[in-house]
Amino acid sequence: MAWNALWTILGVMLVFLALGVPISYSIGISSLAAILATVSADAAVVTAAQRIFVGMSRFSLTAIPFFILAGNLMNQGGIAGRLVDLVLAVLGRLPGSLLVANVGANALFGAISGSASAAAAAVGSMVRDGEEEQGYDPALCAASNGASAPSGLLIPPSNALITYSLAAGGVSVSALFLAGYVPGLLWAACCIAVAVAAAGRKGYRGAAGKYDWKNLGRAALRAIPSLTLIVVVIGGIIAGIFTATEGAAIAVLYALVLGICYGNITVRSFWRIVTDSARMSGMVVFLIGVSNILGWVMAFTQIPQAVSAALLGFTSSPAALLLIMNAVLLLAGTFMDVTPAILIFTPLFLPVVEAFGMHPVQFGLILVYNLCIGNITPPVGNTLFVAIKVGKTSLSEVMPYMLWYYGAILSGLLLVTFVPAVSLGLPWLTGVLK
Amino acid sequence: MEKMRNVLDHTLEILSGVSFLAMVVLTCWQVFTRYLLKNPSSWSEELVSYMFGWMAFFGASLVTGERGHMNIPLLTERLGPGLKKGLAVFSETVALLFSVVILFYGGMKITDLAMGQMTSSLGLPVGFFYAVLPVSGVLCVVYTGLNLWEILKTGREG
Amino acid sequence: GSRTDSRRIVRIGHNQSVNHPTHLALTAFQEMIGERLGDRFRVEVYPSELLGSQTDMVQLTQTGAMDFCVASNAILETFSKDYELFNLPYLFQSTEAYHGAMEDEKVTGPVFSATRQAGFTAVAWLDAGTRNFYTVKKPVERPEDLRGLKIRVQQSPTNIEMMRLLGGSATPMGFGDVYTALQSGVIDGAENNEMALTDNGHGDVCRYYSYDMHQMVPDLLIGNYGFLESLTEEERAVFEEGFEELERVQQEEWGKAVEAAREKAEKEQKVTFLYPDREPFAAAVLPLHEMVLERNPALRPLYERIRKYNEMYASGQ
Ligand code: NA
Ligand code: NA
Repeated sequence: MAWNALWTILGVMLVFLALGVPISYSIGISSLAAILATVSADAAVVTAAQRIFVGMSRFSLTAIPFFILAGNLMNQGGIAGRLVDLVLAVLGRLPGSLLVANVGANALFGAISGSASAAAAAVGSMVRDGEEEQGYDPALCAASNGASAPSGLLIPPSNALITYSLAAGGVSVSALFLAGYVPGLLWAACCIAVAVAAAGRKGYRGAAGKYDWKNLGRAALRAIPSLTLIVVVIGGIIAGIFTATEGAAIAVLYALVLGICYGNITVRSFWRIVTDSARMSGMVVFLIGVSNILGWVMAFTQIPQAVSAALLGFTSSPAALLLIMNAVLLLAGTFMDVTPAILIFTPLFLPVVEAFGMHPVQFGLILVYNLCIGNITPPVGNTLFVAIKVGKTSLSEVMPYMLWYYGAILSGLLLVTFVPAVSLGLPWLTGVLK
Repeated sequence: MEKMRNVLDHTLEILSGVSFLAMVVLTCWQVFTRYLLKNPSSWSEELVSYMFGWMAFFGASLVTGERGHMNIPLLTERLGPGLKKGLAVFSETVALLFSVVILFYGGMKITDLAMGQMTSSLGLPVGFFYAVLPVSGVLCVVYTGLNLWEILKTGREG
Repeated sequence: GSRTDSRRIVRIGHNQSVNHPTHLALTAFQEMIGERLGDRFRVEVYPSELLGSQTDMVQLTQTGAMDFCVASNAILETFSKDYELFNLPYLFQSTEAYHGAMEDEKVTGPVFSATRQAGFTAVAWLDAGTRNFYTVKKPVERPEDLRGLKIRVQQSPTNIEMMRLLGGSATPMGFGDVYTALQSGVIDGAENNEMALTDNGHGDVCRYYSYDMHQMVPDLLIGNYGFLESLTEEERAVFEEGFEELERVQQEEWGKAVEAAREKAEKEQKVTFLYPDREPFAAAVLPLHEMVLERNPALRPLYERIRKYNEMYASGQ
């Protein structure tokens, strides 16, 4: 069952994609085709309809459209522009300073909101116009935005790590959280390195001459209301006044009020922003919906289990096993969402790595790091798609830049996999783990 | 034809836009009730989730009409106009198939099923919300039909 | 499996992890069916919500894409009002009364078959323990202690009304968001069985767990009605035996798991367990019983029968 289903999915999907069929339909139809052999056609179609609806009506996902709308409002309202000016005043001497600021903001924002796609939506749509004004290639901007967004999923609080703790039979959440900081920051650092290098190659020079303190002061002053928005939203989430999803809606309200105060938002422009944001959100959320069909079909036909069993049988050397596991997880992440993949692979792989002495906390970080990469790899790469959409560019333009980012992030993965201290260092130092 | 498309676009913009704004208002209101009224709303989260479904399906239908769903044109962009047109027809046919089979037929079935289930806090049948599936299925069928007609008649392929 | 495998695959889904009593019990069921009817059926158990949330799985069981799934009582309430009965706070006055009533087909039968029209029936009940309040900072020893506290409840009107009667501020949210909400202070506490402390890590954040014992709500194993009807008499008898075995294993494992959870919470997570007087809590929520019975009079005979179990075990103590 598993292998037939796998070949059906791969066959149908790849042919459709090659023929230029949109990713969403390719995923949906190939998934449906894969279960037609196991359940009745009626049950299969109803299941597909249910998975897509459920995938598109989750409260926690509403943070994505909210942040898309908030970001677009901030752009039109002149709020984002002031933040961009401030970033340029502070970091302007660095090549590609806005790209670097985007990476940093994503790490912070993803960490707090718990959603890589929400971070990419919020930050990406905020910096987009500023980057364009600076003459950056939108494709590079979208790549930096998408590639760096998942770093926040490793930085606590992290739902992915909570899920892992549950799947691993109660591994300490506190230890996992402490272990997440360094890999998460490492991910962000990899992205900053690529961003600076790419900006250098593209000739995005930093400002020359003496540091302009007066300009910095002026920019900071002008940015105060915009900064207040960020402080209110992030502070409100950290202080427990509202959840991340609720914070996203508050951000919309705040951006709207401020934009009206600045006189940049009218009824007409507001409606255009709302409907544009609905289009953007509709497209990316539709992709999430169809990938929910695919995830279900993979779980139902037990493809991950079959592939893992086949590949793990090849060798018994720990290093080789770890590499194989990474490959399986990367592949799985390419087609599946993070949560179901954690639930499937933890019981499959954890006993294997524990047998050769790996700490379950380190394995948790390896697992989540791998699966987070899946967020930014097509054909099921929701965070990347959000970044492309809010960056108003296209997949084929973004991919060449993404290859650089994949390289850097994968080198980070090797460190997390083979150097226990990267994840276990902080829990050791703080005495949470012995 | 063009007029029909305009009416559809306009209606969908209103449906998705209003759902979107309702989501924002309800979510802010949820925070407000928790702090200021000390009486948290029990149904807002559920309603927002379903409004989200509506907004997203209507938004996605608009994108279907604009043929704006993301694809990977590595191969297709290198082809001549004739083949390009053929593949554009193929893409729209797949979209039509998806809309008829999953959105409309599957959507009708699940809506019917969910009519017997009440939401946990709103006291409405769940099927009421699932109805967005067959509705957007029909809309997407009309849109893909219009797209096919345009591609074939006017030779616009990209 | 091999290509020539003609056995009917029986798919069972649930939302717990693989070391949970529910999964262990379903595995025992799987083994038993394998031994007795292995030539005709192959049971596959899908844990951890892999096939969707409980609501989703109930729908898939309705359509026949799945054959069985475990659903909480709260979910089944959305399909049939009759399930409101088991959700009533302080319906059962002791664990013995709870188990006694749940084993009595005269109590469970009418409720379990209420969803036949919707395409499924409940075939077994699973112990989900006792629900109690647990809080981040403030110990709950009297109902008054709940005043002003934001407590997460399941998204159902009965549960919200219960919190209102107890004086707390009901904050409905999905279970997956609770850990972060407790940690950040969006809520001050929640209510659940002891496993929430350990399995879901809530004991890392919460200091107090108060045995007010407000609810004993079962989880139910439900089966596709068409599938159950398709079984021959002999097969059905084996399945029924399997359901009984499943209930037995589940209760046994549940007892062990709760003990282990308590020990871990106390020793490793430093949770303090409190044993408040239950009477003031029970008195506060009593109006809810009449409210529900008036709305659904068909439940009254079942309710009266449950009270007999309460009296029986109260006098036995
Ligand atoms: Na995080
Ligand atoms: Na992916």
